[in-house]
Amino acid sequence: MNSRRGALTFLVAGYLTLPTSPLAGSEIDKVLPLPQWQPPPGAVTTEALPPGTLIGSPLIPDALLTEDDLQDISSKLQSSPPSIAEEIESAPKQEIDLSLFLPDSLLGKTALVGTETPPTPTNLLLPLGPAFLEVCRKSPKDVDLIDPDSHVSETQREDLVRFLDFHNRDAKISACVVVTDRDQIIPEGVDLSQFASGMVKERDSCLVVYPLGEPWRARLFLSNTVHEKAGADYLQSLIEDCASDAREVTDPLEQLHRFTVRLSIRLFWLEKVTHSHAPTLAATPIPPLSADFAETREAALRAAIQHSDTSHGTTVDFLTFWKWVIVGISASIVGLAILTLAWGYRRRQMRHRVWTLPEVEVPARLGGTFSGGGGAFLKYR
Amino acid sequence: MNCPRCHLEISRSADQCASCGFNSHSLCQKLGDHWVRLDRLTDPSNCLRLHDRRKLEARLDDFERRFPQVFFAVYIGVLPVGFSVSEVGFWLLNHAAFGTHDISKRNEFGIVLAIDPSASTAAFSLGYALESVESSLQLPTLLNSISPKLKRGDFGRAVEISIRTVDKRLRSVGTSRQREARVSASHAVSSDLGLVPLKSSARTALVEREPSPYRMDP
Repeated sequence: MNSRRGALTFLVAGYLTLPTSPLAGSEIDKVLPLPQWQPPPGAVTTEALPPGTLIGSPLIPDALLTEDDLQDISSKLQSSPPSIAEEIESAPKQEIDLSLFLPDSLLGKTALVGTETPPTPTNLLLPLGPAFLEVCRKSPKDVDLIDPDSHVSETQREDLVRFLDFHNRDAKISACVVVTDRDQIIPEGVDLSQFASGMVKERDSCLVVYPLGEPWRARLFLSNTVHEKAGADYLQSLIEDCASDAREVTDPLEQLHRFTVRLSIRLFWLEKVTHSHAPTLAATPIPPLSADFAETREAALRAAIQHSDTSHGTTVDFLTFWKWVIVGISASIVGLAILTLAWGYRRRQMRHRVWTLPEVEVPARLGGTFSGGGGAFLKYR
Repeated sequence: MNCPRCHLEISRSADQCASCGFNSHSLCQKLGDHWVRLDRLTDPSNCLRLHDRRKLEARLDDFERRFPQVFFAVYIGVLPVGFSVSEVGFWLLNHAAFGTHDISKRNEFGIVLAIDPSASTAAFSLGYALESVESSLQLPTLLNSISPKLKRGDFGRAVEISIRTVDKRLRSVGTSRQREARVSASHAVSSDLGLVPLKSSARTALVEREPSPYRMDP
């Protein structure tokens, strides 16, 4: 071990004396010094700056700073940090009215029952412009609410679009609503089947042209397949029902909302009629109730109850089967318990009973005093 | 009745077998005519496990409790050549005092099951008093039923089945009555009267003093 250390020391000493060793390199540096970096002219060094001086920004190295970058902010700095409570107290009090941003229904405000606007006279009705009609024609098929003139506010529009989308997802007769101004009318000769890119022709659908604020002038257009199955009276009653429901309120947008909801309900009813086996029911008016209606209804109910009693026999049989199963299981458990008790009683009784055999006199045999060879013999292997 | 040696039928009052000449005298010439003391379970060949012995002891206690007159004894051992288990059973019932709890039981009411594991033979021997119910015991059928157990070497189980079957069949032919309460020996015996309880050692001494025409005195 000592010899190894000595050898290692000798090798290190020998290496250090070589011209290529690090010690030898310092001599060369004295002859040829490395270039030293010097700051550019006009640059400001940070060592001579007073404390509290803002030095540019953290992204700019100190060596590139000039006098323009230096800012003496010592006068701007406060002696103590600002207090939040003071800021709150000093802030001017303002009342923020959220009602400007929220609908009346959320604020709990009931609809204003004001005076109803008188209907627009017929001679003052204006036909829809070509631009309006063009927008309606080019409207995509999946757009359920067509409002080129933006009569409906944004929030109401979103509500109506969601509602109509929900209706069209489940209903077989889809609905599309075109909103016009209260004094506008469809001009003569306009082919409404082209509205919404011909939606009415391609599938069972309903197109409603609704003048905002005058629900009684709304017009309903159905696909041929639906119109043929439904009677004219029924359709008339449909539109009248929707309009009368809308007139319960005076707010035009609320009227549009109620009209759309009622329309959706009536279209579901219409769907049951047009897509059922007896589509002609819609054409016939509902007959008035007869005088003996109550008696016939009671008789029918009685007959139905009797029929249900007999039909419930299968249910009764099912319950009877399980009842017998439960009875059988219970009887088995009870029987097992009785047998166990009887067995235990018999064992207890046997402990207290003895059996005696008759004393029989048998003559001696084969010279045996107590046994004469009686018994049995077996070779088992 | 069958001869214990040749197993041929013999008459009920024959003094010796007409076929082979077997009788108790010829057997005593080989085994002796002295009395021997024997436990209820005698297993010189160690065929019974300790667990089986304890179980069988309990079975035999119950058997003797139910039948005050009868006792059941078991002998499992390798017999010398020339002796069959029937002969040994016959000799034991006539010359053995079995260690039962109630020493008043007479050998006429004894049942001996002798098994020779080497010769693969087994035999039941009955006392005179049990010959009247021998047909009810169905001993040949019983031997056949325990034969599989004996072949497997499950002697404990075979003996247990034998005891249980004999118990059941004797109950069917016996007369049942309520057990009488026994007075303990310590109350019945009083040293003041000079009475000594009859213990097993005293019984053996009394038996050994009995004269026997077959004893071969040295």
